Amino acid sequence: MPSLSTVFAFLERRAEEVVAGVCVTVMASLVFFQVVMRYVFSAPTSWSDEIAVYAMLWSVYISASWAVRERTHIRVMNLINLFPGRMALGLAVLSDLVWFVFAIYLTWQSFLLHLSMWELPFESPVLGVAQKWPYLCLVVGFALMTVRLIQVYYHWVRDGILPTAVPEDGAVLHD
Amino acid sequence: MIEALYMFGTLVVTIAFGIPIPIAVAIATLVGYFLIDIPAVALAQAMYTGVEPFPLLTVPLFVLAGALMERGGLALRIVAIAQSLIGNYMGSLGLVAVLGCTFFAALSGSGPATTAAIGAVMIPAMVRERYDPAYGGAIVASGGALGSLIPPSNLMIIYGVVSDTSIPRMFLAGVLPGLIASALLLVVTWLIARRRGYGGQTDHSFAWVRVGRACWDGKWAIGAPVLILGGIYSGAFTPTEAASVAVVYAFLVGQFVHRELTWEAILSCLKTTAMISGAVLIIVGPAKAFGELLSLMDVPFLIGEFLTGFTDSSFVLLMVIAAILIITGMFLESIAQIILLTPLMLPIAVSVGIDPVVFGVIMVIACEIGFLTPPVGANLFVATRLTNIGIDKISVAVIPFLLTYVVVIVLIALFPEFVLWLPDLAFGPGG
Repeated sequence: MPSLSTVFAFLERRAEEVVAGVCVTVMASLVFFQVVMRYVFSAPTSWSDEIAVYAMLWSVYISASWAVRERTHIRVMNLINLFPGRMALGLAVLSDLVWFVFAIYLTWQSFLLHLSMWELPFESPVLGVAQKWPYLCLVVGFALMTVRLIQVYYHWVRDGILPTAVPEDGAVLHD
Repeated sequence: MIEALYMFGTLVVTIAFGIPIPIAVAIATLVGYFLIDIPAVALAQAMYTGVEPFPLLTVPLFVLAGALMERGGLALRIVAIAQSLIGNYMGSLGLVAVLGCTFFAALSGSGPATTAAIGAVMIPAMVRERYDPAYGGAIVASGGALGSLIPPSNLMIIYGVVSDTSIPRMFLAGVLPGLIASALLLVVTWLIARRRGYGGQTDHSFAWVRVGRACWDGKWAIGAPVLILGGIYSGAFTPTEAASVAVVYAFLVGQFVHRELTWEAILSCLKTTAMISGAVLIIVGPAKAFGELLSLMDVPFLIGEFLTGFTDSSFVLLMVIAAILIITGMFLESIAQIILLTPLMLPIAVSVGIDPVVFGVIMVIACEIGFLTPPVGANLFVATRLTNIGIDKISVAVIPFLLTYVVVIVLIALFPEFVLWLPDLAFGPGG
């Protein structure tokens, strides 16, 4: 039985990449499955496309939170870096703060959208999936993004790791 | 109009101060919503519906297929074929790199991925032969940009989704400009190599036997574009399905034929794909909301009025639009650029009789120039990482290569017919 802190460390390091990686696998498999069904079994399916799209939505918004941890979001730091050291850091912190406030706001708006679908249910035409569940990817993604932003600053305060630094144990990505 | 100016102002300021670009676009959209009284929940709605179109799946699937092909030994075999074709000429390693990029572009839909795949093999080889690393980095960065022009192409898929243009038509339209760009890159590479006296390797003189052996060795790599593009043009698969077939093909070849794909490599390919989804595709939702709001405010019409006010020649207009796209491309990530600017610029181009396919090809080439210019140039970043020298050195060395793409844009603006020749031949005019 692994201790609670090992479980937590694993989730902190891998939670999003596992979910997103599974989603990517599901996307590729389902689209290919559809080709095989059509050509080999002459039995085209329509449900596989719908599930593949849900997997893409979840992979996009879950990875958006992971990208905060790895600091791989695309941002232009050139102007900020023209300022002297401490001021540049201050401006980077300010931009993270704006991002943080906006992430909370987006979480809230996504949550309102999700709630509205409990009152006015709306289902997908093919599979009849209640859309409130796939739409939950926005709420989960932006909430995790907010938590990851807090985490970056927690590491700064506790361990002195600068918020602009890429984590050492991060995934190695080639582009 | 004043509301739109507030939105552009917000966008520029937030991007300049380091807010991630998708978030900056979302904030600017929210400012617009606030000014014309649209509830903010519409933004959340657009973030969902923006990522909902099925053809968008093609992008992560081709990213995954490209990553698997690189790790599964297909890139190496492609370089070997290019090497056997070039033989032992002045500056042959540079020519091999360009040709390798051209071939790999037919497997991969992404510029940075092509740079990474070919650069990982060719840059160390060029450094061993005492080529200037900045020159080597510039070659693979500019050659890698062909990845988005020669089909398949992620940027063309995005353009097709945003502008409702046929993706197979776009793919075919990229073939001739891609080959011309490749030929021009070869010429520039050779000229620079000759001036600096870079030699070739003596043990690799040209022989048909060598070419035959390399092609036989790389038959599975050659099979990939045959399967992907043949499948699309014979009508067997949609581009999205072809991308999934490419993933399975790359997996099977890498795993069972070349036996070079480890499970760690497969996991790392999955992670790369997921990360690109998170960091890049997240722009799609906010950018869609931003574009629709600007259309609601009639901004494309106003910009069109302004531009057509001082010229009515479609050539001049295309050059002005291309110049705008190249400048914005320096600061925007390419997918973001296509989603944000297509709804603004395409109606103007169409109003003076420019075919959406021609416009799309110009848009893609402008994005490729963006790949090669700082501050946001994905290919430059990859080349910098591979060569371990400063981005400033590669940015300077890349300029002659970058100009070849400008030449291609001018050629297309002068003779738009040649872009349409291949798609018209395959599908008939129009459509």
